Amino acid sequence: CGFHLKGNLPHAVLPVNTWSVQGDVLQSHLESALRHNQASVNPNAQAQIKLLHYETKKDIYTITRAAKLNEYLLSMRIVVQAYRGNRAWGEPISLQIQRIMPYADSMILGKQYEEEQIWQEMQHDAAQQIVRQMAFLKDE
Amino acid sequence: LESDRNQPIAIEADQGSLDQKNQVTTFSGNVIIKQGSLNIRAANVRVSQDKSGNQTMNAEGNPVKFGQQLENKGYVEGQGTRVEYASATGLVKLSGNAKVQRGGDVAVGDVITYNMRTEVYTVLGGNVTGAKKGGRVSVIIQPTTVNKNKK
Amino acid sequence: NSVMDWSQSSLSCHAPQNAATRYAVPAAKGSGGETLPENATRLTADRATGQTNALHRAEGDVIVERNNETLNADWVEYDQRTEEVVAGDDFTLTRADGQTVKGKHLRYNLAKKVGNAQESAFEAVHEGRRLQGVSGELSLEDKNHSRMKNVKFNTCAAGDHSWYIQAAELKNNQTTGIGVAKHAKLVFGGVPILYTPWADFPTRGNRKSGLLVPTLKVGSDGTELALPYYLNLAPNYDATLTPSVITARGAALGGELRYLQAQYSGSLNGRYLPHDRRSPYNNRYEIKWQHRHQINPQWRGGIDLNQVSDDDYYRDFYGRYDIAANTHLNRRAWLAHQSQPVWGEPVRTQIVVQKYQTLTDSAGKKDKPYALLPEISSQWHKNHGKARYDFTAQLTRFDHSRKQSGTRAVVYPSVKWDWGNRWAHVRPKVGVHATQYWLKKHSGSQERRETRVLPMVNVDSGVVFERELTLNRQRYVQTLEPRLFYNYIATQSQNHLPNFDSGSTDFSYDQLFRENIYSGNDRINSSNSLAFGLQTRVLNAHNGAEKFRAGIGQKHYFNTDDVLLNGSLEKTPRKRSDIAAFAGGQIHKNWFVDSHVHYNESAKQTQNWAAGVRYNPQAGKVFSARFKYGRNEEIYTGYYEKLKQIDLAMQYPLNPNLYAVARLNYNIAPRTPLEQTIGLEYKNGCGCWGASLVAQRYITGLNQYKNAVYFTLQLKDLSSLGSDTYEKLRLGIPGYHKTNNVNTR
Repeated sequence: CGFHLKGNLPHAVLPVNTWSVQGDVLQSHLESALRHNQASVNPNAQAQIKLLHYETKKDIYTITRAAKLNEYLLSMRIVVQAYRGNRAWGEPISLQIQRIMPYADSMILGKQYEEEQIWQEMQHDAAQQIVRQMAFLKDE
Repeated sequence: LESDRNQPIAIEADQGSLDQKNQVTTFSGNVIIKQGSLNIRAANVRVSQDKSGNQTMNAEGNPVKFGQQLENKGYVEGQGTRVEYASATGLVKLSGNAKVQRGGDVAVGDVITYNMRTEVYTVLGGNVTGAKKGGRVSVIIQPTTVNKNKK
Repeated sequence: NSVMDWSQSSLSCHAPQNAATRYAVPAAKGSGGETLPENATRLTADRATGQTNALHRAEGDVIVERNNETLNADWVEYDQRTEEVVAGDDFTLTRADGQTVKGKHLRYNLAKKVGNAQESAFEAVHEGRRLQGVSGELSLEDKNHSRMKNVKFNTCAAGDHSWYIQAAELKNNQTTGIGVAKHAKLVFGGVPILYTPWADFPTRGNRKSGLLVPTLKVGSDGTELALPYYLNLAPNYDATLTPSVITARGAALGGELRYLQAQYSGSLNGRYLPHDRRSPYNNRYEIKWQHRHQINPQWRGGIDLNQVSDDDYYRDFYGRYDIAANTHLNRRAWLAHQSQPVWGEPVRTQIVVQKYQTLTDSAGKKDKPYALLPEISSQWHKNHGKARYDFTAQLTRFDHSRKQSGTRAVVYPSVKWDWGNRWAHVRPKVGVHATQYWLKKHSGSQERRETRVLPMVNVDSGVVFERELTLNRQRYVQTLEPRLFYNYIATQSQNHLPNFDSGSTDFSYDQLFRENIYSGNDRINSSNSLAFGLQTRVLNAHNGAEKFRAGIGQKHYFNTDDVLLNGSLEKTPRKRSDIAAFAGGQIHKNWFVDSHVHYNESAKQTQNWAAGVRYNPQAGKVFSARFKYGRNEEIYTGYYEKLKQIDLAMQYPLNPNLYAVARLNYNIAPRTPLEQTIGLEYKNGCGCWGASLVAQRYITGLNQYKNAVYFTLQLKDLSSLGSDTYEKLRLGIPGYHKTNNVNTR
């Protein structure tokens, strides 16, 4: 059905191999995502990826008929920009990531850990998507 | 200066003529008059003197330029297509693109009358004198501190 | 109408068409002469007279220019010695900061920039914010301060008098950006609707509005009216005192203190209601304190204190969302430390003291969590070549009035390798989760020590296939990503161990690829399983942005040992887990969908599923529908039942200025409306005021309802009067867009 191993189509690989990362909150996730895509991190590399905007919101998503909280919606909005030298390279990459976290008052301490784990998974997902989109930067 | 009046007058001009009877002298062609700190430069000048020795002077030029040291150490200079000066009153009247400059202060207009003794001036714009529609007057006044340290 | 005439004012307004009418008070015109040296003054007029170093007088369309101030008048007298100017009959003065004042008989000192005028009209524009008005006597106290008597002013565009504030006195301070009005009346459409003896408000964006902002709420508690006073104490802290009255309950005093220093910042909110006619409790209060402190480059700290006087507080005073989210009120203080690098990477440590205040729920039940008195946790990780070393440690003293108390230490070192190329990856991880308990004497069991050491091994691997895809003339890249996650954790029954902070996480696609299905550190599930997942993504072929993603997964148990949440050892019913699937993204230019399902293979039935669709063609126009089904959900503490809900929401532009909003959140079985909201949001043509009216009926507990009508009148750049409906609508209507925000960004 037309599927090939990743690599045959264009934009499978990052146009540059070493990047300097100013990831702030996403620093370690962006670094590991770059490593997962066979790139390396070097603070004074020519190409740079910088986190411009990071915003999270935790909203009530569902409540039961006894007005008890049933689900939270964790949403994250991220904007990063790639630079070459110090000129903006390509459009800013912006992402919206959402996850639903079921909630139970009886396990509030456990839910604190679960919420932190979900934020980490969302940051990991965001970093992978960012690096995937960086592969589409035009190598002019 | 008051003392200018009893200073000798030195006059240069292409030609000069004296009308003894009316005590009127006229000079024309690059006229330069100097009397003490007063100096005048004009195309032609007519100076008349009355019995008590008060001189009145009419000068024309493109423009007429004059300058004089004032009592309180300020130096004033002015210009205009026509200049009338009466030593009795110390009044100078400049008309036609008249300009008077005293220290940093500058006055520009169609007709300017300036009293050398009281340092009172009036400036009339072309709009008022009818000389030029919309003719305006501009007076620039330096902050008094600037004039003080000029003494 | 002449600039001075503000008496008649109608709600209709004509937005300024051309530049000429853009200014309520056109700026004074200059003479066009070249720029003057500093402090020099130029008079331009039809005639002028004067004496050097004394008095000068100019007449006829006079223009006075000095530094960057310009004055036009019919005649001007200028005293060079005092630098004072008297101008009449009409004058227009444009000051250095761009503020323009027009009026009669000005006396003004050009050097000190001090002066006064009789009647005046003024206009100041600063960073996009406007202040315009007319006043009787006006006095300019210095470069930045002006004071006006019986003044009418607003922040609207030129010519827009749809509302204005009439005040006996208005003091405007340009440096702090604060205007203070005395005996002020808000006149709206010609009708005075509000009076305050004193109010201040921001003439620049840097401050919260102090204008009297009555929270106007009419509902089952009668009318609630709150009148906040804004106290601008100092540049870096301010306070708001809010006396309020709830007709059915009584009077209350609320307050907020905000502080911002270089090292620390925070806010302290509180409310006190001495006597409540509708509740058995008296002296009811709430406290919220948020504090952040950067002590030094290594140490940071913070306090998060939330406390109320009694269990009914939230149900009595708050809306649906706050009630639901505030069963446990967080009371937490923390310190965070970052050490010097150890083998190249810093050790991060947090010290936390936390004791929740738990309120009984509407069914009268209360389940208090453990208090952490304290909890110290540290993390360190380092990447070295293909390996990543992780070390986490935690020491916690758990305290509970009824349950088993004790101290727990956890240490979890691990190493993870990352091998992979463009199309595949294999990431093995090896670690040891060691736990030690020191448990106090508790109902029958003596003081004891328990340990648990569990080896943890897992391998995460995946392959990525790609192909080009064209859907209705759009080019995409579609991926196919099979994933295998082998997870081994030795089996150990844990029912002899207390459960301080562990909770079960719901079965989902993400949970398949987690080491431990329990959160916290007291329960570690036994595992010898292989999770299989298949995921596909649709990426935009131009920039790689992910448009759609779907996935399905299931776990195969080589060993069916299963540690339950209570720690006892059971067997999983089958060799295979339930099935989890999800799908979501943008399926069309304006259509978005989101869905997930948990299918129970042993019971051959769906455990829970949800699906939502949103049609959002433009900002301010959105329809959304969401359905949720849960076979066995906790309705209130300890009571489980089926949950079937539908959530319909809409925001629709009736015309460019008027938007309708509506929401219906309905519990299908048993039939219970959860929230019904309808509302109208209006923004006046010239964008100078906006109003929203929202009526809402919502559930506050089992068969307990509340209804409320929220009214908000928003005055451009000045304040919003009434309760803020934005938050309620943003939560209720996915994709909701604030349409009547009139404040300059």
